[in-house]
Amino acid sequence: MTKNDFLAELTEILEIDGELTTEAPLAGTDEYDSLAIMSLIAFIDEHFGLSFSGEKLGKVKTVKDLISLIGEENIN
Amino acid sequence: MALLQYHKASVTGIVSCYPQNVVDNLSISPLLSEKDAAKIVASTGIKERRFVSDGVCASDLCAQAGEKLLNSMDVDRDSIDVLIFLSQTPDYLNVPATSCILQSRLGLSTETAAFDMALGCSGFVYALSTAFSYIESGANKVLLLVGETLSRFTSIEDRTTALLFGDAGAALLIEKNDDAETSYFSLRTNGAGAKSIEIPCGGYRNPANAENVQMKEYEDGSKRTGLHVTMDGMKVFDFTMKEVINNIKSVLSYAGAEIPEVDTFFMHQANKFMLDMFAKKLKTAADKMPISIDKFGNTSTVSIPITMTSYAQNGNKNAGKSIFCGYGAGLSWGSAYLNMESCKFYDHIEYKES
Repeated sequence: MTKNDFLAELTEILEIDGELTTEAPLAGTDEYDSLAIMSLIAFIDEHFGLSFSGEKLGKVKTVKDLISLIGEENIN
Repeated sequence: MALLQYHKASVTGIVSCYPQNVVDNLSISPLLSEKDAAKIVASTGIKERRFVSDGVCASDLCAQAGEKLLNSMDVDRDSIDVLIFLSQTPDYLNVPATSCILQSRLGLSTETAAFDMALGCSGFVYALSTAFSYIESGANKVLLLVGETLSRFTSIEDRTTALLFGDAGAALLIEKNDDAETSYFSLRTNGAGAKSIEIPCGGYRNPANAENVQMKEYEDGSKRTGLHVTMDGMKVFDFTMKEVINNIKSVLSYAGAEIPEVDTFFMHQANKFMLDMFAKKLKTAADKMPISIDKFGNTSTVSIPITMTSYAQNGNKNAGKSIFCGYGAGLSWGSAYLNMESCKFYDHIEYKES
């Protein structure tokens, strides 16, 4: 998946109006709530075949950190 | 390892009983805006639920379901050997056991064994296993009553739980059947997660006192008392993702069966999003996994039987080879694999206020 496609998917999952950058914060923001994290788990599972716990994803600080968790080789 | 099998027992009839009052999830919580509520509804799939009126208990729903079941199936009340009442919302704090009251209300013989069971959303699978084991050891008929009035212990101002739980009851007849197909159960527990879903006060560890019965505001704006249920939604979600599919696979492997042989998956109705994930992971068609959560919410121990009667109500009279799977507070979970062809009577009734 390209980085742009990934960012577009993430924008939709988090229901954010406007553009999301790799520097954007995740943990602690209103949009990054438990419902969004559940959707993100499903999305990562479906597209990358990876299973992360909600606890782990809930601690991810920025979009950049999320990309390195999934693996930069998967998103470029 | 609790891998169990039974050879002589079958479920022969099920009646569910739900309260009259319909609760619209978009407008019920004073804490959540309609937009926030809509977002939650879209994920959980819970559009509406049923709540009992003041004064109505789980046992009342069960009594009406039980009456309907015994009358419609023309069961001699003296023939019930065992009555089990499964609930987290009994009439009294276990003294006396609600099952004893129900034995008398339903006019069952004093030669009936009656006792209560208490477990979270896994409870139905455990209680069914208990009913089957009584048949295996000599009983001819077991009446299993399952009921919850979760609206009574939920704060409508708690962000995590406000829009989830519903009230319902069910009655099941389990009978000795010499031609029964073998039923398989796999039951599991992890008490390290006990805090993930709890009612912190009101028991004997933290008795109710003047302070903990007061509403208290928490960081996320939620308000509840110590007698309300609290849930760490993320921990519970992680637990189900880790354990549920493995548990279903374990009972199937114990039975020597494969996923495609299962006709119907009756899952505990916790959350539509989760059910979709399960269907995907099991690589099974969504129509093999009936849903009742949209109309009744999460009714904990009742959610599997009420899904079965809803499924029958929609014209599906034979569920065939079925998986039952419950998971929740404890943490506790369990799955059963059994043939439901033996079940010839399903009904679905609305509670009548007296």
